[in-house]
Amino acid sequence: MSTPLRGLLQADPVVATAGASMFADALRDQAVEVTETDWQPPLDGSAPHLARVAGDPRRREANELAWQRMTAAGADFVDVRPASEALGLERGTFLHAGPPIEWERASGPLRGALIGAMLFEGMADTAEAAEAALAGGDVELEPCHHRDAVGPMAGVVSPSMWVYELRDEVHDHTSWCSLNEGLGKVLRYGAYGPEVIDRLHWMNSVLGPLLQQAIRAAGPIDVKSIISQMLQMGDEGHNRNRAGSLMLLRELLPTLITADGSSSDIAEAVRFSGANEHFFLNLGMPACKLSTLAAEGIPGSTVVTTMARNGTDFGIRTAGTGDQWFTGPANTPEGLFLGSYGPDDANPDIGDSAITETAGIGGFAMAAAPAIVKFVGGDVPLALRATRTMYEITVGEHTAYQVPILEFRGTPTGIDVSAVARTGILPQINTGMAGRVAGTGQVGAGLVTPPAACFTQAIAALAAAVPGDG
Amino acid sequence: MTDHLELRSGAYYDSVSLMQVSRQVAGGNGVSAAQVAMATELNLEVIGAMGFTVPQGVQPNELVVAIRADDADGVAAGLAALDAALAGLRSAGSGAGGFGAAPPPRTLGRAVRAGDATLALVSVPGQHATVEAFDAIAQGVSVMVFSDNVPVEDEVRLKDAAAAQDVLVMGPDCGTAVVGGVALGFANVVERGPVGIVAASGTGAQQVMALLDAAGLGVSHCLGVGGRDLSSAVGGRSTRQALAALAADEATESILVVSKPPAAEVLADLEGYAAGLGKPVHWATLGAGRPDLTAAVESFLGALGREVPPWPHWDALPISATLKDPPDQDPHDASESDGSRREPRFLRGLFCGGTLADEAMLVAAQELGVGLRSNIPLSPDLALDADLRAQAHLVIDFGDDELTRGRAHPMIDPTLRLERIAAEGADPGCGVLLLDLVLGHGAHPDPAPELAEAIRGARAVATAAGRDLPVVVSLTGTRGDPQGLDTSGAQLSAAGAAVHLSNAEATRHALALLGVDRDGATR
Amino acid sequence: MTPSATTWPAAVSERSAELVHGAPRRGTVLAAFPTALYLQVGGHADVLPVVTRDGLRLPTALAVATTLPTVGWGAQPGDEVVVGGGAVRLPGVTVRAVRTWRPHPAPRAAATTVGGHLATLPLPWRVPARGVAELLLSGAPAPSALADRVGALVGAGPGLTPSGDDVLCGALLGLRLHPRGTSASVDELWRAVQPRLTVTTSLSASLLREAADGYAAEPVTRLLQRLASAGSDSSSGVGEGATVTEAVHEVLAIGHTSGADLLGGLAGCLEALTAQSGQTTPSASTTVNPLTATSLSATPRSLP
Repeated sequence: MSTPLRGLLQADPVVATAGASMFADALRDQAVEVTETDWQPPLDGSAPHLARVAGDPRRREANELAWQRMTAAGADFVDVRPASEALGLERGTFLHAGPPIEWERASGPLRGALIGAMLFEGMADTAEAAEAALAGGDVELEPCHHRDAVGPMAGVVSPSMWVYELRDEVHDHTSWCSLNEGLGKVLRYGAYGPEVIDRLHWMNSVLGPLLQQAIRAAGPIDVKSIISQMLQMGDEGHNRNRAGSLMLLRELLPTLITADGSSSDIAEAVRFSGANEHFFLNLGMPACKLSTLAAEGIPGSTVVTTMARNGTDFGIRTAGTGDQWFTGPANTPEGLFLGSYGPDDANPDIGDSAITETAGIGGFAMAAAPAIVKFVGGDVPLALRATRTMYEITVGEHTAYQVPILEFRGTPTGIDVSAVARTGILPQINTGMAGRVAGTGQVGAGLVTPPAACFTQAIAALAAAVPGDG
Repeated sequence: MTDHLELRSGAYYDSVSLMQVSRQVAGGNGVSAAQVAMATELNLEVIGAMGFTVPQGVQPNELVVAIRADDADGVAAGLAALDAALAGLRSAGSGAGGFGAAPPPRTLGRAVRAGDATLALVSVPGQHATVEAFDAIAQGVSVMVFSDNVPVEDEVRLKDAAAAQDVLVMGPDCGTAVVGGVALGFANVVERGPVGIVAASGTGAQQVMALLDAAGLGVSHCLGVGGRDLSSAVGGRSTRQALAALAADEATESILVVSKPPAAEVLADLEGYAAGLGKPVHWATLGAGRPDLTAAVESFLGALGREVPPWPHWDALPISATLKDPPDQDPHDASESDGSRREPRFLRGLFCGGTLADEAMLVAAQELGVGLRSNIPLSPDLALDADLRAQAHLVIDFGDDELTRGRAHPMIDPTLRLERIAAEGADPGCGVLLLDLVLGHGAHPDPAPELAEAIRGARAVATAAGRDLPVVVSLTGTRGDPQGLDTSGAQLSAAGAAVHLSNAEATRHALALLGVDRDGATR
Repeated sequence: MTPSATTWPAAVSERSAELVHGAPRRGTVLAAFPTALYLQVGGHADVLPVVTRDGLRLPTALAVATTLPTVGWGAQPGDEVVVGGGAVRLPGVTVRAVRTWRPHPAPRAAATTVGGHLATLPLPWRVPARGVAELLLSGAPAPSALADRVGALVGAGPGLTPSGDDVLCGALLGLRLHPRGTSASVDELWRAVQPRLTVTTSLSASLLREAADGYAAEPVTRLLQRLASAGSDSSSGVGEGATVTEAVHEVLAIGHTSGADLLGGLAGCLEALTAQSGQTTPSASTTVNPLTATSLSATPRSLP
């Protein structure tokens, strides 16, 4: 016979409390073990929705399933192809980072990148003409996420650009991301000068085809495995990709140097890739996208499947609410600035790269990358605290991605909208900062959080989706 | 005079802590008044009533600091006291914070896991309690929900979820529980013994435990189930689980169910269920025509073959006892012979314990033959208006949801009731004052002196106006309580109040002092 | 003695309540660890453990609810303390019993195959424990034969609780758990153990006495309860096997080898009792490497 109430009346009580600390004190005075919750009121207006969601009988299993799918998803780098071919991207359509947006509301860096894409595609001869065409609505704008793709910063992908292709064989999903252009004046930060466009052409004509040969000859590369290794080598996979980039290059080099091409082209491709410490980012992002893609469409789950920004709005989507975006005005990151740039030069948060945090790395794995604080600001305890705090708002710990300094604890994975709304703890994102003015490029790097409004809207929608009488 | 009002965001503290903070700030050099509170509507009203101008658009999660001081130096002293007090709260709460320390858990579920807890206790504001309780249930532990103002439909959902997990929801609005000798919330120190209690009433359970203690009988467990558990809406969901658990518990020999007036069909249903448990179950459920708690405990003792002791009481000492020439008569008796009273005089019951108030009304209604006006009336037509005043016999429960919204329970913060006691002293319609005082864990560390002071004050005001104001106190406590039962009783009796451990006896004594005979007429 | 400045509230075991609430008497600190303080109060086998929340809760423990503050107990082995009047007075701290907790005795299983879950575990001491139990079951064993076997165990091994004592604790508990164990056999074994208590440590002697009454450290009691309710069918429900396995790991984590030694005693005893009921038992494992056994004790923290 089992004891009723799980043996409550037989055991010496051990208590956890939430609320007035006088009750915890009274228990301690009775020599009772007490763990106190550092309770804070939830985000404004979310209380009734939280109560409804908390009672949804599907929720626990749905979130468990989301976590399980996210951590089980594979990520194999299989190909490099033009976007027109890989994504079926038709002429006249550009993809961009973040939730949907129109030209009128687009920020400086996004506008700059769109102008650059017009010039690159030969759809305009001058920046002014490009701007006029874009303002006139000649180009269809669509989020990368709507095609299962991701793009860092402005994230602009035009049909001729080449993209990496990654496969999750476990769930039969495919994701794509543009090739990384390196640092400095680059399209993704909104620069569109001649050197930017020239580089894009070189990437299309030389780098892309060489990488295609290399990956096709090398066979699939397990990107998930590289991520788990780089976290043990001081990277967090969003703003620090040094080890990951070297490991990727190590995998590609044998077939890259024997590819069919001129030795000077190959040398330049190797030099270009090796010189770019974010070479890996554009593979890490689609790997994370495959992870969150696996969690999409689980009724009752409150797990976040997308966090993305377009420089104006921050948007999230959840497993339990399908394709619906919940948006709020993007915050401006705080951190360290390059050269003479300062806070006034920074554009609000931009890019699909927050997919890394959504999947449990980046800012969520900051404890694995204490050196990052030299780049984004803060101190080492901040890096440790960031990761440990994220456990409060996630449904599980990653089975493959681990943090050595936390005794190889898995990274906090699967952001729970209801935990965010309850605690007011917002996801920690490490990010680069784009210049506010179109054409400036990168001005710094730092830390940022989503606006709370994304989560209050999402919890309301999740509450409305709870079946039943209410 | 200099007024200082500021808002601070991103800082939440519970109301009990802020009361202490307010007191510390008010004690600052040159500070004449101070209120530090979360910016709830009610708190803003209070601050507005103090004469401060509260800006528009304040969010309830902001902290309002209102300081009135003699001059700018006084304000500075107040602010310094505030910073020190808040820093004290933070260091007490968080404990850890070094390089290697993990951040404290921010949700109850995390706290349960972090501490391997077997039981959870929720006392956050009512509108947030449901979420925390669900979290505890999801972690597979029973949860006591002290919070009130939880919607009844949430209560039903919580209890159904708990039953599916084989855990118990004690509450909401559960003030008292004793599990394995550990007192949770407001609970008296009782010996461990053979009696298992299921209580749909916090102070009712405390009263019963106090009576059992006086009779030398200990308690195995007291499982609170929340004041609404025996209502039609909730249908005894937790009571059923608690009965089954006590029936299986080897330390429990007999079971006593304590409740505010239950729904008849729920009670009948539970009686049927209890009959099949194989352990004797007794009922101390209040209601018209049913025995009061004292009578129920007496018949319970009888069923166990135990003797009913005389219930402890402390006679009212003449207030002039310190004078050389004390009157040889009970001052109350003296007042009764005072023929000068003409206007009608009424019973005024001012309670902190809801069930004690209920019981007093049931007893008094029977004796008086008329219903009592109340904010928790026995029938809707007897409800008091929002000002809680009437020229009638009335009983006020200061622990009711409506009066605790945005402030601490009167057992912790007695301000409202103390104000009313003073007001009754000045009211010629007040013929007798009936008060309760509940001791034990969680209650005020030493409430008797403050209450005694208020009683003295009210009686002095009445005396000055040529009236006598008899006072009776129902004192619920055990000999093990930290506040000291005998000391508290003596302090109250020295203030001129008659004190009874039995709430029913206290009520009857008050009615007798009012001069009520069995016909309900006042002499 | 001047009153101590600091007071820690504590919960006293029902089994030590009389001692702690009785008239004050002097005692001696036997051993001091960060999570436990062992006090000798009275006779050789009269030991009062004072444990922190992360210490091992012995059935007689006075349990403080906090982890040890950095200042420590402020007491060294050999220091004099005062126990009684509801408190333990250490040189710098008073530990006051504000509450009583109730340890649970070993349950009695219904199934005669109880302990099947332990059959395949590599445990030390299985064979000698089985020998003791078989002797007890053989009807009327020659007192000298039992005395020889018990004598070889009591006090055998290093440490505060020598391995041989842990094995005997396991056997005493096994006799209570198994439906074929009788109180007569418990008494018989105890009669053989009791005169030899002086050859072992005080702490160990006190734990033997508790085991004879059916009491043990909390993880052991939990395992006994799970074994009792799980029956012995090791192919039974996955969840059931998992909770037993979890409890086994907790027992193995006790001390350096104490948990494994006790478990070996328990398993050997249950084997003998089960075999006596005519059922086939798996051949007793001869692997006696305690290191292998304790390495199992690294229990992984489960995912949320």
